Amino acid sequence: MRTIQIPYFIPFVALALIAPYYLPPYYLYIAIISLYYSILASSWNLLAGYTGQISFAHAALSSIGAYTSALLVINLGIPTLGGIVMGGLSSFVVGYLLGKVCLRLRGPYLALTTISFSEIFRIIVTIEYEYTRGSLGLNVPPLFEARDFITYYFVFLGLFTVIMSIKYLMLRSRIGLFLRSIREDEEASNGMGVDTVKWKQFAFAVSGLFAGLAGSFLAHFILVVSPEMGRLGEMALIISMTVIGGMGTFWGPVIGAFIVEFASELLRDVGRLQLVVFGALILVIIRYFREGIWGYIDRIFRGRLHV
Amino acid sequence: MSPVEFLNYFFLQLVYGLSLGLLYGLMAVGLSLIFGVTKMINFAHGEIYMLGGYTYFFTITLVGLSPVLAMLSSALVGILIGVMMERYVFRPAYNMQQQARDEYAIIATFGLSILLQNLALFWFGTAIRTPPPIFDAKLTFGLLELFGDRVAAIVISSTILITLYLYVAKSWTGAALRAVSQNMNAASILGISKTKMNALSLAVGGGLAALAGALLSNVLLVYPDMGVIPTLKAFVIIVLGGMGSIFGSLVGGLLLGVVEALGSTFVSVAYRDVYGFIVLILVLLLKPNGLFGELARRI
Repeated sequence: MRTIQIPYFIPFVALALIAPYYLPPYYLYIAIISLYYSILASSWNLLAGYTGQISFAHAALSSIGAYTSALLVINLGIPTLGGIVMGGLSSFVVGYLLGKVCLRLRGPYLALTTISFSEIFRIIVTIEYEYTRGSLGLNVPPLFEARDFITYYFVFLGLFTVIMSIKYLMLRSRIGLFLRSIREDEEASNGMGVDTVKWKQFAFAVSGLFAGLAGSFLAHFILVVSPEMGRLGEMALIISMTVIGGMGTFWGPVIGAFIVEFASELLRDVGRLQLVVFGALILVIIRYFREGIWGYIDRIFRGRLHV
Repeated sequence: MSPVEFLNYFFLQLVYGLSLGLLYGLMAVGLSLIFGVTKMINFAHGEIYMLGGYTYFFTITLVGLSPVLAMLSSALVGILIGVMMERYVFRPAYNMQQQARDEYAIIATFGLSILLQNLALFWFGTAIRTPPPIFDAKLTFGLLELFGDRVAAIVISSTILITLYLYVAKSWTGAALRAVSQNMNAASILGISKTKMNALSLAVGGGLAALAGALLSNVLLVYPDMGVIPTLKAFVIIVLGGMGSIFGSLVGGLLLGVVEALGSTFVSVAYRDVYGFIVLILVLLLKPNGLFGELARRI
């Protein structure tokens, strides 16, 4: 984990702060959704890219957060912000338990268990329509009374900044080394004294917390939660973003999320080939440049741009 | 519900479950063979099944072949796709470390499945197509009415499963396949080409998946993401039967049918798809080698 060098960051921070005032609402909307996916892809990357635990339950964890928050706010009338906190906590707990259950499972077995978990959740949510209105989706009260995209943009930007900072501090500390050692070789890392059981559960729980927070914020922005949020297609998006941007790199998933989200929105009229291209990119990148676009940029600027 | 009606209902659910279980078994056996031999999971298996369904549909409607010939051409297309997948997706990973190979296999085949699904969506659109049945008749056994297609599918798939089992258990090539699945490097030292055996496993697996697509196309219809549910069921089956075991896939398919029938009768029909997943999680947690623990290592 290299240290972030502040001077290179100033233009990006400035862009992020000024852009919303000049972007038309449609692009601003896409930017907000991209921020949501940046958080999801980054937190999936923490689990899959750094710790080597490829879970397919991430979209489900995000929708667990969204449903928890929505149901609490609607049925118990607690304030929206309280609902969001509860949403994040519920995904934290579910992520922790999922990690506990999956401790002994590796590779394909872990993938299958997490797929099953997310499908079970999606089917339950679809069928129990008395509580969730099934596939029609649940109408969710907004976070703010005024429908102002700029405010929402800054809320998401704030959440994004907080989560990325926590992730940065975590990865730069010993925790980052523990997680990466699990990915490289679990037995060896255990032999060297790393409590792999503890840190695997930690990675599941923390990435669940981030996903749940992002999901519940999104619910109170798009004003609807439906089982669509947890389907495998969402997982496909998260994986494309992370892999295309660069798995196991710090900024890769963020770049990937913006590229994939903007490309799929802006090229919507051109045809339905975007996902074909993303699928092909996954195949090429995972075989030839495992570090993705970020790794490529990093290689070009190596020695000059230390991020 | 009176007890007689109840039994009747359960019986219907059981026949329905067993027949579908057997057909999904055809998918499962290919997946299981591929995993056993190459040690890599294939998330794009459902897309071979989907392309098999489309081949069946278009060779009948556009080319005008008879259903049986169309079925054979589907299988041929499946074999071709399987061989190409081995060459371009699987082969680069043979020399990777276990952990890196797992990661590569999951992500690359998942990417391939996104690619193929959306290519089908682009070429064929979202239209749901109903190909003509293979065997157009209705059979009645007492209270039970079965469509000829389903009966044909059951007969064909169980014949294939048993033939394949005997082939792998008795023939020379079968022994070579088993050798590679037990120890890839030792097998290649003894002069068995691991590349050939891996290609063979993908060809057989691909052919069977495409055949399953053709056989089920009249019952479950043809559309771009038709492969998702059968793949998930096939995964449940191979986990139940033990990965890498052909006999396990056959029994796993039947067991899944029973589990779904029991769940649908005693709990709720709406949750039919959930029971399999619950069984999958429980088996992985309690008996990770599948129900046929010691058989899991054999094919």
